Amino acid sequence: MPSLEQNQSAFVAALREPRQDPPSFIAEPTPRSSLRRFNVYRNNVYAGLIGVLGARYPAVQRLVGDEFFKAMARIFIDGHPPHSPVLIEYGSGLAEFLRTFEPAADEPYLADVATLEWRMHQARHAADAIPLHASHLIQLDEGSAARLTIRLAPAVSLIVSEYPVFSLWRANASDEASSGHQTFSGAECVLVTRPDLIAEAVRIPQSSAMLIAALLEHKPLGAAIGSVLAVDPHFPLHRTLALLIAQKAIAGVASQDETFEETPS
Amino acid sequence: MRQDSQIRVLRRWSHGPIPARAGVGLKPEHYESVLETLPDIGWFEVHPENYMGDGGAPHFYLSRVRARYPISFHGVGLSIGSAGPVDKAHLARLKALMARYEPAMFSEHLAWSTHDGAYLNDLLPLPYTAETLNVVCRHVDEVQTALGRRMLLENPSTYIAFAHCELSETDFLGEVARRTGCGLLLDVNNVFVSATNNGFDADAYIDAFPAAHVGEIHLGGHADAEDDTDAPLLIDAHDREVKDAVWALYRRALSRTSAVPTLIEWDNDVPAWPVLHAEARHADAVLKENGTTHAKP
Repeated sequence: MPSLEQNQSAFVAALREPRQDPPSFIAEPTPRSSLRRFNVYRNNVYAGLIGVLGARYPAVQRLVGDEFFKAMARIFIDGHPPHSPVLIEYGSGLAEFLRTFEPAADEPYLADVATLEWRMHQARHAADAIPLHASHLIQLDEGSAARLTIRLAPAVSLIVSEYPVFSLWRANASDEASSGHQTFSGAECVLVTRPDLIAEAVRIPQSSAMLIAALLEHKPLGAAIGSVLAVDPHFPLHRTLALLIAQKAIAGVASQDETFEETPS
Repeated sequence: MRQDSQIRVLRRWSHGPIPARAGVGLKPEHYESVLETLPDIGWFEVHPENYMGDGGAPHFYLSRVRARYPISFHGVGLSIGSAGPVDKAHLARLKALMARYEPAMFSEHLAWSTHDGAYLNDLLPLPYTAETLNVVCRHVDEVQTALGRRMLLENPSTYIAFAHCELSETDFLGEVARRTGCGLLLDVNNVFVSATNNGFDADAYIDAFPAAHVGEIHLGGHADAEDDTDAPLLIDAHDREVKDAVWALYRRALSRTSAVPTLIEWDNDVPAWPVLHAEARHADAVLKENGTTHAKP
């Protein structure tokens, strides 16, 4: 009789190898009846996790097709199994995996689409934040505004891609949106936020992305703006700040003088 | 939607044990229907693992449902039957989530789902041996001590059995309950599925179940398939109505247990709210009918 550890090790090994016979210590109600029975477990493990990845990466799945996605996901799962039962956290490594996944080499933008989808997923589950009201910013004079550090909400992130990542994602994110492999071109930057309960992606100009990247690094507003203006003198500063406020992306500001935070009421 | 101040007032009313009524698994598809219509239903059950993110919609909705109804946590991730140790980090997260939502019940499965740090995303079967019994009792003890409360342990649905078993499943569960003080969750659909798949008598299983320890019953739908020899193979799919044979088994179980909270599990191909609610009302009717025909101590 195998020990419990031996039993479970052999069970897992057989789960992962579809061509392997079920472990010999399984009782067969009738001879050779156990393969389809054991396959229920194989299917539960893999189909379940492939389903999780498919729900998390719908645009990647549409871009490569269901069959390719399932085969690719299976390889990913074997190399990167979940290490926690909290499957909300599962699948973060797919973008990195896709960068070196040879069969997908002719779709080099896939990794960035996967990054955008992962950030959307993270935004859905990010900690709640009370957005700063625009009036806090309006009250400030130019000098104190420059010294401000803007704290962005936990859901906020930025994707800077050399590919048309937003267009590809939007065209493939749902069945309704799906327009297949349309031809898109150019580099795109995307701001991900969660204004209320729904995560949103917005395509933004590269200069706006530079400012937001500087804010994500906690640079003071004046220095952040200065670094963007040095590259792009016509940078749409007001539109970028208005977008951050409209998307409820600003969770607080701090200056040397005082801190403005909305407190939960 | 009500204001938070009203929610805080309502929360005080919804403490206390889960009533001996039907509840359902709370699905995101039904969040809005439930909060808008506040249906007459006893309680809701959730998988705590689905609420271990930091914020966003899951917590927004669960906190509002919790303000109006009792809830139960039904874990899928503790891997009580693993030869390896209980994941202490996961146990700590579970404890923190319980402090936040104060579920009236907590249950887990007689199964294993992790191995060498990898999570296998399924409830895998155990050989019922003296060694397994020691492992399961040690883990149940550890969980109950860490959480500071009694848990319920659920009988699994199984597709295979092990050649070498020293105890029946019902004796095994009874012994775990006796040694650890835990309660049992009797999943009647699992009994039907396992009995069909492994060729034992479902009625006899119900009759042998340690009924005094049952604190909750689960009902759910299963799918029909066939094994390699064309023998029936039932899949615990939770994707449809409870079948008549399972309702009959439920009545048989209730004739042995006290009236206990009963859950309808419907996790895949989730129907519109009224369909799920009708299943819960069906269970309520059976509970009521049983209460008037069987006088229990």
